[in-house]
Amino acid sequence: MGKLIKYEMKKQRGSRMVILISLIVGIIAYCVSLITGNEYMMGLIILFGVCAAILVFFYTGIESVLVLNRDLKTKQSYMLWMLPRSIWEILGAKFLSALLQMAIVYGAFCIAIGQGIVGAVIRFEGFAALADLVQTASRTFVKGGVQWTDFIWLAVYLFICWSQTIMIGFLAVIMSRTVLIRSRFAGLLSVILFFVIGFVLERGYNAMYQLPGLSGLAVSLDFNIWDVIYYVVTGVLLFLVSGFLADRKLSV
Amino acid sequence: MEYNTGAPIYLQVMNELKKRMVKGELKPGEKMPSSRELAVMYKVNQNTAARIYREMESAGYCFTKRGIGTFVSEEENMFENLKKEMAGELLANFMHEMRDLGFEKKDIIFQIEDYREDADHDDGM
Amino acid sequence: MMMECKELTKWFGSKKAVSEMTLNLEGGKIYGLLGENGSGKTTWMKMVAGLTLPSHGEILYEGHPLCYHDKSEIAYMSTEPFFYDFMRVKDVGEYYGDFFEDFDAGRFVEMTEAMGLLSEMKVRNLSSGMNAKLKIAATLARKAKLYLLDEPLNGIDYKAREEIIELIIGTADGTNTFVISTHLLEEVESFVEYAIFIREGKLMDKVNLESERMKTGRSLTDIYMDIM
Repeated sequence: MGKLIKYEMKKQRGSRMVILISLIVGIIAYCVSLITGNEYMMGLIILFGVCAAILVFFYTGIESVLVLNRDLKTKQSYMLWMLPRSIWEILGAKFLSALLQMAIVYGAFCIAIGQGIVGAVIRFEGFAALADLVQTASRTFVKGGVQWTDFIWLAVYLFICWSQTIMIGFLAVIMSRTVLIRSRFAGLLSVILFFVIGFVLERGYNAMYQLPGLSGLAVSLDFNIWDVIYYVVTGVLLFLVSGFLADRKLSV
Repeated sequence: MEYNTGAPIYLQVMNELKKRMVKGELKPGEKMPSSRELAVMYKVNQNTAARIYREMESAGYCFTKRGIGTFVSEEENMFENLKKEMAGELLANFMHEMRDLGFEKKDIIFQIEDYREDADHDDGM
Repeated sequence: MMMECKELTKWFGSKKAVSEMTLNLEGGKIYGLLGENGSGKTTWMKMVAGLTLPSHGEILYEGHPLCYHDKSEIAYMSTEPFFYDFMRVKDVGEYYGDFFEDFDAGRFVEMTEAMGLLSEMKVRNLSSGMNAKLKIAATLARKAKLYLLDEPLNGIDYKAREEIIELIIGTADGTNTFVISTHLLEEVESFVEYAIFIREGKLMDKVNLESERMKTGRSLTDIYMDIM
């Protein structure tokens, strides 16, 4: 598994390097604007940074799907199918690499944002203000009713929603490559399939809360375990169908 | 090596090896190529190479020392016999073909004496 | 019997690419898989290599149904280049070393160097002849029990062909099995033991070439013309 992940990470190395290098360039530019006190430049950089962050957020999220699509489109798919590894291990490695790539990229962005804030506060308000800020922030956490469990729930939600998206992407790509193989329309078909599968799952989600005993829970804004169960079960199902299809049909 | 693709490959390689023995390219007692080397050299498979050595060994052209390799036979008169044998085969073939063309032995001998070595003839191999 | 195919069939949509092929492969032999382009050679080979499942029929490897574990003993090489774009020659060796226990890294280096491939060369910049050499070196550096080579001599010049044939013959040691698909009959005639003829997805015949030469004096081309 580790070796499969190693090569999946290598496939995503190009985009990772582009993102990280641009981020470093951005940080340097930001620091320069801080030191020179050029607020116009600073504003511009922050604006650009936010736009870039949004793009990167989405791109990195679905990059593994794009890589899978590229693998299947070319003979490079043999690099995977000729290995003495099960389809589950191969797809699993792709999923874990996607997670790892996101952890690296998002981690880098968090550090960049953090240092941006810290830098700005120190530059304009001094160290004392930074200490104040940290104190206030932690106090709001505790007093304002924001609990750690909420954060954990949020993280779990984000994770399962993202996993769901990736699984839908995998299945859409595999289905479209199974039917259309190397046609130019295969890409388009996978996008359509992506939304169709997403729509079906959404209907399924709504249908679940029509079930007796569950219907009351749907309206509540609280996090509830049934959401998690639904996403996990459907995610596993999507994974199983993808693997089954890939095993039967893929290499042509 | 150019093969006649309609004849068994192993026989053609054997003939080639015998010819090299007669010509002195493979000397008595000399180590012969391993069967893998033989296979690569003559573009044949392992099983054919093994068969070639088996047949050559049973005909007494070479012998195998266990774990060391195959060697050209050390019996001097074997080479003489081989040379005669191969010449006999060639001659028989030649005579057969010439008779097919309607030549008598007498005419053939006459033609051979008349044959110029330096003329631009293809020697067939 | 190292490999048994029973009524192997593969449908692509409404087209039958391989049709009820029943064929056994013995260990330690070199097979030539012969037929025109599109006759089903590649599809059959991919099924036997475990890259695609048959629509119908059964493949037994060493007596058990073929499964992904068996790929550790089966070395498959496709006609087209398939290495990742980002790889250099030495990365290909590393990849095979990472995934195949039977891979001999030393032999890979030896073979690539002998054929003029430098370890730092980028795979995507290689000419088609160079790529063919790299593929064959990576595949033959494995000590597999079964080698499946799909058109290894395709699209390369005469000299490279000779080099590749030499490597194949040097690797075939009489215990491992080779299946080589090709339409270059003359190139493989002297070392292939059995010719498997395929037409329109069907097995036409399996012929022992040496005994055919002894019995009827027919060359491979003669047999091909007679059967196909």
